[in-house]
Order: sequence, then structure tokens, then C-alpha cells
Amino acid sequence: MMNTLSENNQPPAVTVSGLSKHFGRVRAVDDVTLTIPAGGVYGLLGPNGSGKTTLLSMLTGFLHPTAGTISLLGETGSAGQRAARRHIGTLIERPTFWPYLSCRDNLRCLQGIYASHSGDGEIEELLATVNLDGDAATRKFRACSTGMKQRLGIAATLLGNPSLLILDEPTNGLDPAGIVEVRELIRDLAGAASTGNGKPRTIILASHLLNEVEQVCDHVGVMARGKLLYSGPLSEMGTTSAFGRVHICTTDNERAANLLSETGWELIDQSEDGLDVAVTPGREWEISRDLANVGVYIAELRPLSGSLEAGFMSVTGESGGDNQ
Amino acid sequence: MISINPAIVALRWEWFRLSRRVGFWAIVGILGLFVAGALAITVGMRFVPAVGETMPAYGFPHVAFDVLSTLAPFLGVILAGFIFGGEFGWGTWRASLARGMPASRLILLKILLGAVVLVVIWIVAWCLAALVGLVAGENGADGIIQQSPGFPEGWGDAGLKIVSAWPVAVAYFALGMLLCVIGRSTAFGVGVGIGLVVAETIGYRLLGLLAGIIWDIELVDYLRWTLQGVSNGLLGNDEPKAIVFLPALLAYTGLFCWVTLAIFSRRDLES
Repeated sequence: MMNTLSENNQPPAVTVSGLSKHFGRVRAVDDVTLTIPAGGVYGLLGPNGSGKTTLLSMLTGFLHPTAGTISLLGETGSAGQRAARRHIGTLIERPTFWPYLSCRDNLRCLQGIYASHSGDGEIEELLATVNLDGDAATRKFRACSTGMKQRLGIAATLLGNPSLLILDEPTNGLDPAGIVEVRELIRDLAGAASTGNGKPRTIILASHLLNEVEQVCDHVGVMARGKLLYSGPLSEMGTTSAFGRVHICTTDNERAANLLSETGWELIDQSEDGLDVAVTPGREWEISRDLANVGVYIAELRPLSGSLEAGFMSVTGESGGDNQ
Repeated sequence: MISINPAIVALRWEWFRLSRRVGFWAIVGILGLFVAGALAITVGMRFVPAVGETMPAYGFPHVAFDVLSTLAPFLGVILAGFIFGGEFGWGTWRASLARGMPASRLILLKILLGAVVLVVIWIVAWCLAALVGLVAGENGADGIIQQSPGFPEGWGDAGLKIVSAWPVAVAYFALGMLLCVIGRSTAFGVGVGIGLVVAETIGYRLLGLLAGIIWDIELVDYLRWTLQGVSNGLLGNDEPKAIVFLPALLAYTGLFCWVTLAIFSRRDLES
């Protein structure tokens, strides 16, 4: 299979073509074609039972596809995929560890199984990264809290400094503080854009929590009933749906509307109250800059509440229910 | 399928995990108690001539290995629960396979660890028995390894017992793995495995009863001989030709591993 290069001159982290997985008459994943560029965080959104975990399980090799092809880090074929999986960290559904071993020993064990030669230094570094150093490192896994287990799971995915991380619902079962903690950790990992060996790190984050995906992802795929309904940059999803919009009120709305149209911003709606503009989350300040440059000033700028849900629902339509 | 250096590294970490399980050491301790008890009785017999004269004069390694060979099927099944069954209960096989390790290699590593641990147990028991023999005042190989029914005397006899009982335990280890996979549970695998061992023993006794009643004696003898050979390798048989059970046990081990892999791959990696 030919792989086009991403913007960073790297092959896509994942390319799947016509991928299907059937369990009897149930089509858990149905003819999915998808390219995930190398680098950045890709959010896989979908309601429970939409096929996210099945798709990820095929990527990780835990399930064999009924049909279709998979390319991982540019590698195809069973031998190539097996080689590629040495550079993939995986956390599917829930972290699994040996309960009678300490957090540190669990990581040491996995390091040995993965034939990583980084030694104890890597273990200590990872324990510190996920805030499990000190006494927590010596605690038996069975005695750990859910949040600690989840963080240890993320640490395990980082063993060997992999180029691709696959995290399936990493905040499942966590209390609000734990969710924030794990989300910040993912954001930090995404911030460290490179694995240190020059290769970009890609994170695939499957979730049914829309705000979670909104906060950490730059690309997104939306699944429902086993089908991939949308895949692409978050910003482009915003322009095709009600997702990623802000409402602005300026000192001269008429002039602001003309100017924004001329400079390439997409106006979703215009009224006496102000303008609705499509914008990539986090880049709202550019609207303010462009308007200020011509002497129009923003009196109010607010994200349109519920726009993410609205965008998700417009993509999933009626098909957003469970199928399993 | 599996190169030497990574296999040794992987085995090291398999052992690392096993050695940190309290239950494993408890089983080894219980095994040691059985062996020590048998040795103590044998030593006692030496100092009670009236008893010693009426009993066959087994050598100490014989005693140790007779105990171990009787327990070999149990030990194999229980060890399979420790080494393999837990992986299912905890789901840790996913962590092992996550980085591209094929399932066949995982199963091969488990059976290798089981085989290594069992042979180490056998050798340690043999060394301890020999030591007890020396301390008890027996004099050299002829003294330590005394004649027992059906076996030539000497150190080689003890080696024969290792060759005999070890593959039995390994075969039952493979059976234990299979049962753990079928039941997706350590408790199921070990429980049913032990049940099968007990059923074999009962079956052997029943065949003995039937031999005197209705059945063709040769057929019953053959069935008894086969059952005994599969359960105990060479040790249960007076005939040296029982060596044929070695390839049979190896075949059983291979078959159990293959079925384990087939079920594991088709069911747990496919559903």
C-alpha cells in the first residue's frame, strides 16, 4: 500500500482501508477507511458501542479484521505490523497489571517483556511523569486507587518511547480530579511533540466525552454504528457543522462581517446581535487581531455553548445509538 | 520461532513474576514437606531393624523421587495455574502481547518456564535426598541407591527417575494450561485438572478390579499399563519398555499446547 507523507515528512501513523470486523451478524466495524497523520492528538469520538474499541483492538493486533488492510507507522503485512507494534504503546479499556507486584516492578517486568534496554532510569522517569514516584512506586497494584492504576497504565504505554500511543477511554472510572489529572498528562505528552529520536509522537485518544476530545485533540474521527462518519481536522469539522463557533459583538458589526469574509473567515450567521464565526478552538485571538488591525474592536467574544455537541450530533445524525 | 537471547530475557522476567508469588513458594514448601516426611520415615526404618527388615530397602533418592513422581501430575497442573492461569484472570496477557509478541511465543515461554521450574525442583530434591543419604551414614553410590523393585541399582537409576517423572509433570502442566484457557479461569483449570488426575487413579484401580471379573485380561492389563504410564511415566511400570511413554508424553504436551494456542487465538483474539 502506498503511504503519502504527512506535513512533517513522516508516513501517516495509521492508514486503514476498507477495514471491517464482523461478529456473526453484528458489524462492529464496517468498511472504515481512515488516515491518521503522524504527530498530534487524534480523537476518536463515538457513543458507546460505536466500534471505537473494536477498531483500536484491530490496530493493536488483539483482533484480526474480517476484511481490509492496516498500515501502522508505514508498515504493512503481518510481519511489518508486528515490527511496528514494538513502537506502539497501548491502553485499551482498562490497565492490566500483575496485582501482587508493585507499580515499579510491574513497569520493570513490562520493560523486560518489551525488551527495552533503557534500564531503571526510564522506569523512574516514567513513574515521575505520571506522578507515581516515591511511596506510590512501591505500592502493590491491587492496593492502588483507580486513578493510580490508570496513570500506571499510561506510564506502561510510554515504555520504550513509542511513536504511537493508543489510549482507549483513559479517563473511564476516574473521579473529576483524576480526569483532570489524566487529561493534563495527555496534553503534556502531546506537547512533547517528538519522541526524542526525531520522530513525531502521535496519540490516538478514543472517548465518548466530547469536551475531553475538544480540549486535547487537533484531528478527530467520529464513529457510529461501526461506520466512520467524519475524519479530519477539528477545525474543518467546525466549518461543516455547528462545531467550533464563536459569537462576537464588535464596535462595527457590518464592517467586521465584510472584513472577516475578505480575510477568509467563515461567517456562519450574522444578526443585529453580532456575528457567528467558525474558528479552530484556541485560535479565537486571531479574529480579534484581524479586526483590531483595521480599527474594529471586539466588545464580546464567547464560544457558542453546546456547539461541540451540536457538531457531533449533526455528524452522527440519527445513527448515534448503540449497535451492540 | 524463538531466539535464544530474547527467550532467556523473557524467561528471566517470567521467573521474576513467579518468584514473587507467595502461593508458589507455599506449594514448593508443601512439596518439600512430603519429601522430607518420606525421607524421615526411611531414615527411621534404618534405625528400627525389625521394621527395616520387613520393608524394601529403598535408597533416599528413590524415596524422594517416588514422592515427587506421585505428586508430579498435581504439581504440573497447579504450576500451570500459577504461571499461566493468572494471566487470564488479570488480563495481563494483553500487556504481554501489546508490543507485537505472537501468542505462540507467549505460550511457548510459559511451557518453557514450567519445564525449567519443574526440572529445578527435581534436581534440588535429588540433591537433598543424596545429602540426607550421606548424612545418614550410607556409604557411596551403592549404599545410597539401593535396590528397589523393577529398577537397576546405582546413581543412573535416580537419573532415570528424573527422565521419567519430569515429562509427566510437563505434560500435566500443558494440560493445566489448556484447562485454564478453556475455563478462562485458574480455579477452573486447576480444579478440573486435579479432578482428572484423581479420576485417572480411580480408573486405574477400577480396571484392576475388572481384570479379575469380566474383561479380557490382556486388554485390561494394557489399559492399566497405559493409564499408569501416562500418569507416572516410567515409574509406575515394572517393565523397562515403558520408555515408550516418553515420546507419547511429548506428543501429549505438544498437542495440549497446540490446542491451547488454537482456542486462545480463535476465541480470545477473535471475539
